[in-house]
Amino acid sequence: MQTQCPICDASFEIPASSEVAEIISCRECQNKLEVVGIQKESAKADVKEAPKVDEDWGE
Amino acid sequence: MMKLNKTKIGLLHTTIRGDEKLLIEAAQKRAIDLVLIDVREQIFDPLVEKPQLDVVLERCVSTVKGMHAVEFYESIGVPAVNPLSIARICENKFATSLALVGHQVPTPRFALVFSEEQAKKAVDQIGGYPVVIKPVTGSWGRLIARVNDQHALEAVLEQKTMLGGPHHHAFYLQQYIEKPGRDIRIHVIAGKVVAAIYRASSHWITNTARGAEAVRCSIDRDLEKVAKQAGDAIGEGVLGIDVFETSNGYVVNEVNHTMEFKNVVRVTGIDIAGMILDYCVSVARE
Repeated sequence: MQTQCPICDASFEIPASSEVAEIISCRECQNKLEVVGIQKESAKADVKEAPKVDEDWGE
Repeated sequence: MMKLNKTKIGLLHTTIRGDEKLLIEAAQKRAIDLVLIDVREQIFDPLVEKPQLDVVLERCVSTVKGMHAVEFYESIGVPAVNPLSIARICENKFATSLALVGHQVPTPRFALVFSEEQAKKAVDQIGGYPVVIKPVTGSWGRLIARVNDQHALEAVLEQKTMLGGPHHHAFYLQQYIEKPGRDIRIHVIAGKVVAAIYRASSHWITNTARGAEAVRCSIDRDLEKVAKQAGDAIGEGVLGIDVFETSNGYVVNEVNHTMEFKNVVRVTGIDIAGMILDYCVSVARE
């Protein structure tokens, strides 16, 4: 699937198995991004900047 | 012939990690109806009808969001893995330590205090310096400090008092355990010990989230016994137990209720995700 980084504008491929809410890294700027939408027909994914780690994050 | 309905499991999540992807894959192999529920997009209103679920599996990376979501689903009659009773113990290190001591599980000495004066006395009481100061809630080794002397103790507590919110004003102190360059993460599912890894690091903090390397660990009888004891102390569920090796045997440091397991799967090849789902199915049928 094709996506575009909202931070550096780079276009890049992400795996077809990607899920909405999954965290990925931009291939260019390496910033963490969250998948927020997938259009299977056009093989495109929308991403936004990933949420920052919060104090209660973990396992 | 009677047709068996597929179990419908709600996977409560925030961001999807590699662990959740393993659960999604395992559900597909088992023909389980796994419904992804991003709790950030929900309105938890009990007067509005919710999708029919047999069980929810809480996998939120945020403890606060996960606990509220479980509270909601349990209130409307949907069982949760893990239940709120387990989450409440595991999300608070003081509550975890008390549960372990209450069940005679070997664990490092600890104390909780609310003032610097009491902290100094507590250090003597639990065996002297060094000690570890931890927030009662938190994970991935964040904001924990190894305190080697009284000067460092005063500095850390002043920082916590001046900068932290109220929950940082409860000072959890733990005896520092000298580790052999690693600790053990061992998984207990439905009371059964299923897999373990060493988390090896030259740093005293040995969380894989902090760069420790996951290495296969064989489970000897004593390790299995202490892990089962810890699991019994917390309650039946899906648990990740952190264990230290000491000259006096194994001691349990912490217990995690939304454990990450992808590194365990990678190193051991054990299908933890499948075991978690199988357990969810058994909870749904109870």
